[in-house]
Amino acid sequence: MFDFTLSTAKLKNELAKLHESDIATLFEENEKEQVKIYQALSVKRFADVFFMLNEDTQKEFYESLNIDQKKSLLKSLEIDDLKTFIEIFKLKEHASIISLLPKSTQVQVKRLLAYDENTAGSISSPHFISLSIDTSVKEATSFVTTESTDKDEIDVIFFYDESDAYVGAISLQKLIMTRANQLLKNVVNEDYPYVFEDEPVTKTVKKIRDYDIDIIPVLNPNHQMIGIITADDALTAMEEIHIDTIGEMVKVHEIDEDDSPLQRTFKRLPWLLISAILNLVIASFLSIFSQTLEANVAIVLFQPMILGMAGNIGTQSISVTILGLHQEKIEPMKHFWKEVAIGLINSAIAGLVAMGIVFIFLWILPKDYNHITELSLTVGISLAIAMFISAFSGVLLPFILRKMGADEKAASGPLISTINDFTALGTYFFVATLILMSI
Amino acid sequence: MLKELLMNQASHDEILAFLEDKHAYDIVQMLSELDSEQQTVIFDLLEPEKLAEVLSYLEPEEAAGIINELEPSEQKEIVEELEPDDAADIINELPEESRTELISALDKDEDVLELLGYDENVAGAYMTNDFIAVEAIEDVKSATKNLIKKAGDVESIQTIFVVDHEHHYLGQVSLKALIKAKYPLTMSDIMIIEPTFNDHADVDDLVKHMKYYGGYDIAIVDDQNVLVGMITMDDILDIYQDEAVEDFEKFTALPDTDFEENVFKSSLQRLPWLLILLVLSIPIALVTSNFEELLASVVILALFQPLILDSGGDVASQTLAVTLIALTNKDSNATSNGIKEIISGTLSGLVMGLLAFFVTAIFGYVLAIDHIWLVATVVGASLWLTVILAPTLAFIIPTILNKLKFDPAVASGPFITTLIDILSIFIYFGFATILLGGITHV
Repeated sequence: MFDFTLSTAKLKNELAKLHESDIATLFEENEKEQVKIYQALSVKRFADVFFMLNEDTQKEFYESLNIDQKKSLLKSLEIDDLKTFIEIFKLKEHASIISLLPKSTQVQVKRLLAYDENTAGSISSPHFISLSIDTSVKEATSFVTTESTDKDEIDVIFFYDESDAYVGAISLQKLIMTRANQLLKNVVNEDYPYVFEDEPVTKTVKKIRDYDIDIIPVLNPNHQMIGIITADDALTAMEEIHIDTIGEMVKVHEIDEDDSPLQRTFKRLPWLLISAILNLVIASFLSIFSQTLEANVAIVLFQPMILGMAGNIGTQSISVTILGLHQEKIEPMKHFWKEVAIGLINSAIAGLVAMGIVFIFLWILPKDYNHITELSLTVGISLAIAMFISAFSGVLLPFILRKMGADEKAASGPLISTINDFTALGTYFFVATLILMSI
Repeated sequence: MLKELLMNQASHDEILAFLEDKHAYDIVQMLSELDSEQQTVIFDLLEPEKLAEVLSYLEPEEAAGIINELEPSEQKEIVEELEPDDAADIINELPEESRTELISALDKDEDVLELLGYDENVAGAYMTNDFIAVEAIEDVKSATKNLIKKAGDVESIQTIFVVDHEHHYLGQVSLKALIKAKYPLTMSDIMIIEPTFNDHADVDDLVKHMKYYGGYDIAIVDDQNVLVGMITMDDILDIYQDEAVEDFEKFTALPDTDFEENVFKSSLQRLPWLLILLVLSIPIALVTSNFEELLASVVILALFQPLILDSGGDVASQTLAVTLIALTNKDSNATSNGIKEIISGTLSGLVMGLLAFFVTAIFGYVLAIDHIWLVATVVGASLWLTVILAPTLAFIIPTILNKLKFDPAVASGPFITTLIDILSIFIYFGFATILLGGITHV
């Protein structure tokens, strides 16, 4: 257990031994000692810890500080981290926080805030070094070692030409190995990858991974550099995308462990209720098949099978499509037809297998069933059709959503799955009516 | 573009000049557009150094296939040019004979040899042992000089590790910190102590580690804390990506997704899961078959069954997702999280149950069904119970799996929801029998 009764100096020593993440955990778990920790750490160190805290803790603590403390904390944050912090607050509160910043920082933060979410620009940082391509090796090395600030990323140095356009980059490693008499023009890598500010984050992450680079420059439409994204940022972005994708599927956004049960219920109930209501609406529509159901109660036995299988194959289709879109690995048309073919094959096979299983099942049961053959046929055919429709729409929907500019992950939500259910059951009861009611 | 050059019978020199400053990844993309004959032409053309670079951007299996075609002496040359971790991956994919032959041909002090012994799931299999380490007492000026000398031999000098006489890990210094440090500081003055990772520890735990501590070039040590290798940021990103995709696939009952696979193979890969799930729905049918008389007289029960099943599934998936994420976070309290989920389920279930109760009642009134209130109670109460049961199972099952050292993601959505379906049908028809049993006609 950590001893908080130590003097500030001793506390500082103890904390110096810990990693920022561990200090952050300590901070979150000991609300009463937060001020002590704050005072024991240097401004820079505290900024590192601050950023590791969860958003609610950040917000609360910030609001407990006085104006000078706030200014000092804000100043110590890197600009992209600053932007992320400000976004925790409601839009109308942004201005008051921004006003506490030095003028130059204000401009840069506002610029970052203006980008659309999920674009490269929105996660970029302006803390990079770029020099004119005509700089000498000596000047460049001297600039990097003496004039760059602590916040600047100096692992890769970028270069521009007379019109300020991005030319290429050189790693610090390579720079210090370059002899003073060589021209940077000849050593700089002009093929160093880059992204544009409004390209999606997924594309940026993929480029960083594909080319194994630590930093990627972000350009504006005029090919001028406006920021960088580091591999570390990419890792954070990847984590968020992963959680978002699953979150959309189950309709749990912002998975926050500190939420009380009541808070969780509040956040999720809307979608759960919508789902339930849709279900009830479906039930009412399907009541037109009541007669069929009354006459052939055995149909109900396999209702969950139809629903479940249609759901499962639909989930597979949607998930494969979303995975493909995220990894930018697929050609739309090719993928679409491939998935349709897979859907067709698997639905048909599942339908046949189901037919066989149902037949055996009904036959083995001690109870005597009428029309086992027709029933099996009904289940098999409906299953095949329902599964195919589900698989088909599962591939189509993410593409449609993307085209419309919406989030393709919403295809996996409850709305769609409820519509799938409707189609599946409707098919089932309809086929049942055709086959069984005509006997 | 490469394709065009070849089609236009460009000279070897022209091709080499073209490929000269292209990034290896781009070259791989261009190669994928060529047929195998053309590819062989290019591979034969490239210098060992460039070829090694290109091979490191291919999947290890593919690279192994290409290396296998080369003469033993050429193979040795390539391996010497490759980064040890890439070399290890490729060598491990070679057929048995070629593999042993190649290994015995390598120089005894070749870095890759140490890496070949690791199991594929441990950190050691992902690390490179080509790194720079200096002793703590060395001053920054001489360390920098040394560094510049060695810089050409090592792939990355981004992070310099600091060790003692016996090569135990003490800390690390980033290149940028070293460059800015002023004499007479020593390496131990400017170093930062970052958490290390054991070479035989599971790479899944590495992902957990990174999510908590952030990404950095991580030192890999053995049981005596001797520095044996490092895993760099770019490998960390790849490890994370593979893990994330795997989790997602398990959650949605997808097999290992290969976008290059043809239609039939893909179908066949997904089919087992689908058929297993199909068979799992038989127990549900079995349970239901015991309540047929009830269903015959109260057909409306059949119509509301999807509501019970779907709601159970929805809530279970939510809790499952939250639990899985909590289990992969180092500073999570999975148990308290689980309890909150169950309580939340109880609250949600109450609201949903009440909603279902009233809607069923209205429904029943409009359709002039008998015993509206009893039916409504059955639907409402079953829904409530199901929505309590669902998160309970969705929390307990992955947690137990995790405790037993299995990957909790194996308890994927479809399996848990099928289990919950079975139980919720028991609840549903159980309630129905109790409340409505007396009024069924035989």
